[in-house]
Amino acid sequence: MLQLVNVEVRYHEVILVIRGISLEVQPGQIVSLLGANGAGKTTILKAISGILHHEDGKVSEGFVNFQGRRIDKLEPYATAEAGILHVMEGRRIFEHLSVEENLLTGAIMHGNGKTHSDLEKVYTYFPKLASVRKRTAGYLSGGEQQMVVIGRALMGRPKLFLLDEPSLGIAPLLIKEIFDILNAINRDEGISMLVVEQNARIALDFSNYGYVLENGRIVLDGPSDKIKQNEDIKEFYLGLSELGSRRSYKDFKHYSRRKRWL
Amino acid sequence: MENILNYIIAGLANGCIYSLVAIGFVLIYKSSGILNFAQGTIVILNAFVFYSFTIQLGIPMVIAILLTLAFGALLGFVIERFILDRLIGQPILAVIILTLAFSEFLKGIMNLGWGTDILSAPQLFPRGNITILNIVTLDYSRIAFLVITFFLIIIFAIFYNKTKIGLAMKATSDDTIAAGSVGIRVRRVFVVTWIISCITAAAGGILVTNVMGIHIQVAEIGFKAMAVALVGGLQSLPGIIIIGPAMGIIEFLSAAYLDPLVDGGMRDLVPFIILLIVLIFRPSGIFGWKHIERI
Repeated sequence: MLQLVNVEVRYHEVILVIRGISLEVQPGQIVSLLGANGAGKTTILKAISGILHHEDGKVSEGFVNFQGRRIDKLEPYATAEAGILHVMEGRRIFEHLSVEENLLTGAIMHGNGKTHSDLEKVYTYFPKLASVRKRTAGYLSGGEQQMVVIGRALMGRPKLFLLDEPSLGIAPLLIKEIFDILNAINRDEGISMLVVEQNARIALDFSNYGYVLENGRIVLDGPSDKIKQNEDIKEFYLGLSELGSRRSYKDFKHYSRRKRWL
Repeated sequence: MENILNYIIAGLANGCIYSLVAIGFVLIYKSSGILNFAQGTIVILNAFVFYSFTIQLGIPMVIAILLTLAFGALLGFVIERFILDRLIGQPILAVIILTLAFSEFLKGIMNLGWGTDILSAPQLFPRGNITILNIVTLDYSRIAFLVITFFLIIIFAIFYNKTKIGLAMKATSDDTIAAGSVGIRVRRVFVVTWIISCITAAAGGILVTNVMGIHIQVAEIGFKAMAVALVGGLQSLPGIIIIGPAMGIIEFLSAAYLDPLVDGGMRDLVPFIILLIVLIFRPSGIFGWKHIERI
């Protein structure tokens, strides 16, 4: 469905952020992208959705294919029309619009036809939003805003969701709720998802397949269950020792914390 | 007593036009962050074009009005597509300075094309006035101003709040990149914004020159509109609709009662004194956006 082949991303023509990445999302699949700060996860999503163009960045090598069509030159609105909805980091809601208006913006690119039933669908997935539909979105809690943003993307009838840190700055209970709903959306609507997360545990539980990114390169990939078993992932991403118990960073020798992959 | 009421009504009518011009101003600011210094010049350019259509070419009034509005729309399209589009990604200040330069350029064109004399505008409304209860005397053009701007503002409000394009415009003004990411064609929204803004400028131009005459100095209305926009709050359309008439009233009253004390000129000064005071105490304007801050 979505393929990245040897993608290299540069900002301002010189700053190389992504160095030759290949990844793939199958129809109906949930794929997670793990990595530390600055590894390039968000940049990959921006390269797919075209938001990169707004930041003076571009795919300088390789290409991005979506359903057999090359999309790395497309503007964000065009990738959205093609069925890729990017839920950006930091809950980019339209603060001054009401919840319902926010949701309706997602349907602007489609005709009038099914807007109403789409709206009802969003409210069934997120019953909380139905009760606050007239409220100004800027005053909602972080979790509710995340729901608005996901609901807004759902209004665009996507084939693929790009989710950038959906758990960022949200109460743990709500995180669970949101990921449960995302699971239901994936199951019922058949929407594929590519999710970027710093919280490796959540991401690996949620996804079918995972890629680990470091310094703009993919260093490990495989089915999520397998990645969870990987010793290095356990130690560096999940914070577990061999025995499966929590381990204090005090016990580490500092030089062993850096892992060289290649 | 009669005098005060007359001044108030006259100010109200003039102020409505400030609102009309300021709407175009604010729409552009909201959607793209550009302060359009050429707004006043565009107003008077449209008035000149209207003059040419009616007096020089002899086109019937109604058709000439429609043609002028169409010219305004075309002007907006051209400015956005062929001038501003090339500046995407450049600092916003560069674009603002460009509007200033464009304004001077247009003034040059107008001096060349229509000369520097005050032209008398074609008569839009029949001359004459009616007196209500022997207190207020209204001439027809003032009444027409009030009615026309009222309807234009209603039409605009419906368009802005009830249509998909209006919603797209609101979303774009909130967060341009997020708007693009949900499939809104942001550049098309910018074009529509400029077109609407230039149409309101054309309507304002046709109306205002009907009482002021057609002359390049009328471009000053752009600065009055800017004062209205800043006092009302640059993001607030309701604020502008309220402040415009209020400013018009204050202007006429100060012309009537302060001018005799200081030998004139207060009419042009007072709006800016008010602007200064408002900006000191409420930098975002009376109805401007308070930045939404969750705690």
